[in-house]
Amino acid sequence: MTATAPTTTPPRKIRIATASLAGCFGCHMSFADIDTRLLALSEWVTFDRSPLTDWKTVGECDIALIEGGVCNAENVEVLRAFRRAARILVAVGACAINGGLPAQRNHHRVEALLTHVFETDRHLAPGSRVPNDPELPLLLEHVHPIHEIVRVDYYLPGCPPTAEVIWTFLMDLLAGREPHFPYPMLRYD
Amino acid sequence: MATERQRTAPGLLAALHQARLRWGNPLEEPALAELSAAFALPPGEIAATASFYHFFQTPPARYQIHFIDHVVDHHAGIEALCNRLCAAFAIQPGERTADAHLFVGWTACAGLSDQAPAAIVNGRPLPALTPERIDAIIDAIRAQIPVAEWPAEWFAVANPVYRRGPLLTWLHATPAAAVLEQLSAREPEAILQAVADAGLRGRGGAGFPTATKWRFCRETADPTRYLICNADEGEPGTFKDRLLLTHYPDHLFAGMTLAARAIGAQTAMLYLRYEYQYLLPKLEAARERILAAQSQLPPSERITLEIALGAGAYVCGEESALIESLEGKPGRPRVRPPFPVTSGYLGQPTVVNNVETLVAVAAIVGNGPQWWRSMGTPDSSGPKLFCVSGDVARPGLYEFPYGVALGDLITAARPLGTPYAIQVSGPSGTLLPATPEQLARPLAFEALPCNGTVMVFDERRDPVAIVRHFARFFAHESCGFCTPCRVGTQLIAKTFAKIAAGYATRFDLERLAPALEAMRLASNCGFGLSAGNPVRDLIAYFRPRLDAHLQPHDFLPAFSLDAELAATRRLTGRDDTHAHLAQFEQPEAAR
Ligand SMILES: Cc1cc2nc3c(=O)[nH]c(=O)nc-3n(C[C@H](O)[C@H](O)[C@H](O)COP(=O)(O)O)c2cc1C
Ligand code: SF4
Ligand code: SF4
Repeated sequence: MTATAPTTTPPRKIRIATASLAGCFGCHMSFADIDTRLLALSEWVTFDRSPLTDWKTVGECDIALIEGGVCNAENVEVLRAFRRAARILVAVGACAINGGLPAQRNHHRVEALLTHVFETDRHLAPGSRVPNDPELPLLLEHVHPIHEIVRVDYYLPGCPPTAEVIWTFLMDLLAGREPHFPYPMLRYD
Repeated sequence: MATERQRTAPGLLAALHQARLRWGNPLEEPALAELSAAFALPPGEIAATASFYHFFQTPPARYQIHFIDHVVDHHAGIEALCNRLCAAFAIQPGERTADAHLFVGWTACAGLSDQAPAAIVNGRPLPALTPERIDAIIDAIRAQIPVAEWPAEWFAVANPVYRRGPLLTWLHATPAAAVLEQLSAREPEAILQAVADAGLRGRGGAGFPTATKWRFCRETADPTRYLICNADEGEPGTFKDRLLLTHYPDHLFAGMTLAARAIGAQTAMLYLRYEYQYLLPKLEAARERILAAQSQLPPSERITLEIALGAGAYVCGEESALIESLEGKPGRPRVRPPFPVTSGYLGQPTVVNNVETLVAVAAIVGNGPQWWRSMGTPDSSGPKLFCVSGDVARPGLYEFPYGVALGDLITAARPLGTPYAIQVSGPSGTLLPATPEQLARPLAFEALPCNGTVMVFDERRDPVAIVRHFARFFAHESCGFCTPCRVGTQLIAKTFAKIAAGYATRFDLERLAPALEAMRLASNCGFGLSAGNPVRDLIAYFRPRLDAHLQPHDFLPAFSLDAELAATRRLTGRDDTHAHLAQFEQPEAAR
């Protein structure tokens, strides 16, 4: 629509990684909303680690798209790995930008929340306890936007950002332009 | 077009002081209901006003002790003294003992920089504290001895003067009675002309020509006018007005009377900072004497003199905030124009002058403008009181003519070590390196402006830590009215907390820059305009010292990641490696 695809095929395919931290996968779905343009995109880019691929660890890449805030220890580790791997790291969606709706839990004590859900809720089986297996990542005291943990290069606002914003952004980067979002594309809700 | 004026409640501040004594803090229902009826304001509005002032927040306790959270006091070991007292009663600063006998907290510089470390107990100063004095205080509290019965020497505030010039000599030599004779002698226009001829400029910091301000006020059509003496003296490190209030209150009230007459005001008010309330008996006596001296005048020429007490807010030194405070409202600077000279106290034309300015008025009327003009520089005429504190052997007061070199003033105060950094004019002013070039600069409005305050720091001190103290001060004292200052002062304080925690990187300074710019350009009053000055100067003059605190990393979190897992570690009883997070990653280059 507004953005145009690269006119010539880049010499090397651009590598994109994506991740969802304390996200709802909605930002990824909005990405998928570019619809058949995904086919065009797949001509120009390669995907590294992403919920859409089977790569288990993130490798060197050009762009990392991160949705979701940071709510637990594993989110921190993953976010740092993506930061190390990617040249350009992008905070996608309200959650990554300012913690989003999940950050409403910052009004409560994390112990109280876990206890409420896993121990004192009246629908639980007797003897239910807060899970404590080392397999499980521990929750942080607060939910944080990703820029409080690592440097962020770009922000795509919206909950989720519109497919047009995501498409425009990628086309700009692919064409080597500084990303520009016309006012009608912008939303925080 | 006439705009609807906000409600005013003159006398509310005094009533809140009364209520606090009777009912305690914070004010609750019966007290609020009573005040609400008396001032015809909803109880919530009265509570909101009270909540603006620091000393109306203190929880009720028989002993309310506030240690002075000021850089000079910190260098003198105030933190250890505070901890010593707190430990004896098993509380933390900001807490009250279980029996509600003792509250210990912090407060901003109380005008005792020359007698650091210091504290305030129930509104009375405790200067020059030592561990032994703290132990004696602990005993007195344990023995439940009322503060009124504590030894008088514990409260003795000295006003050491190390250099007298013509002004202090005249003040010292001229008995109050002689000052009083001036009162009947002068016509308004003659007083104004003398002050104009003397070229007097405001001693409160901004240096506005006093006679010009007076003329603006005098030329308004409204015949009901006010003169206010600004004795808020809140700028950290400043204690020059304290000397004048302590030793020369007659001269001050005489100056207020002369100024009031010059502008055609019927009432002159002294707004005294809360921390100086121990001076109230002296000031009341002087006020009575000057009132009595006026009795020879025809009633139409007599000036009513009033004294009002603040309640702990640096921003109330800003003239329109001071007026709001006198009107029984939170001390938030007004949107100007209109300026106080056209619409001030109760909407009437009002002149606000600093204590030293008004004492100078008495001296100029007494000695003539030529005497005044013979001192200082052509642009900054007259003598000036300087208060020097910090790492000097003789912290105290110095009278020099305006234009004295910064270095000469510091030399007079006998630096303890080699001066390294100098804070000129308080945190709102300038932080300078003690280079020969800087020390040669004259203190004058046209060169290096100075309200009189000079704090000396030698090589033991870290300029970054000094700026962190100022950043906390501004964050605490911002009135919170306008966005750049309300938020920006917090951003600066947080950046310095991050630096102190060892987590800051170059990026944190880059990210702060636009906030500093917004504060400088878009703040509603001089507070927000100058609250970024300490960082500005740190970056301009002490960049290597600042950089030494920055981590080489591209970015680090401002909070401890591992500490954020403490709650869930506790809850799950885990302590395996996955239950922890490292704060530092290898810097880019090291990979
Ligand atoms: C944040 C702030 C604090 C101030 N504090 C004081 C103060 O403590 N004492 C003072 O005389 N002036 C203070 N001023 C300056 C006053 O607004 C005003 O300019 C001054 O009292 C005028 O008196 P002068 O002309 O005699 O100097 C302050 C200004 C600002 C912006
Ligand atoms: S921003 Fe909205 S859509 Fe995206 S992850 Fe968060 S909640 Fe989901
Ligand atoms: S600049 Fe600061 S102190 Fe001044 S009005 Fe704004 S918030 Fe209040």
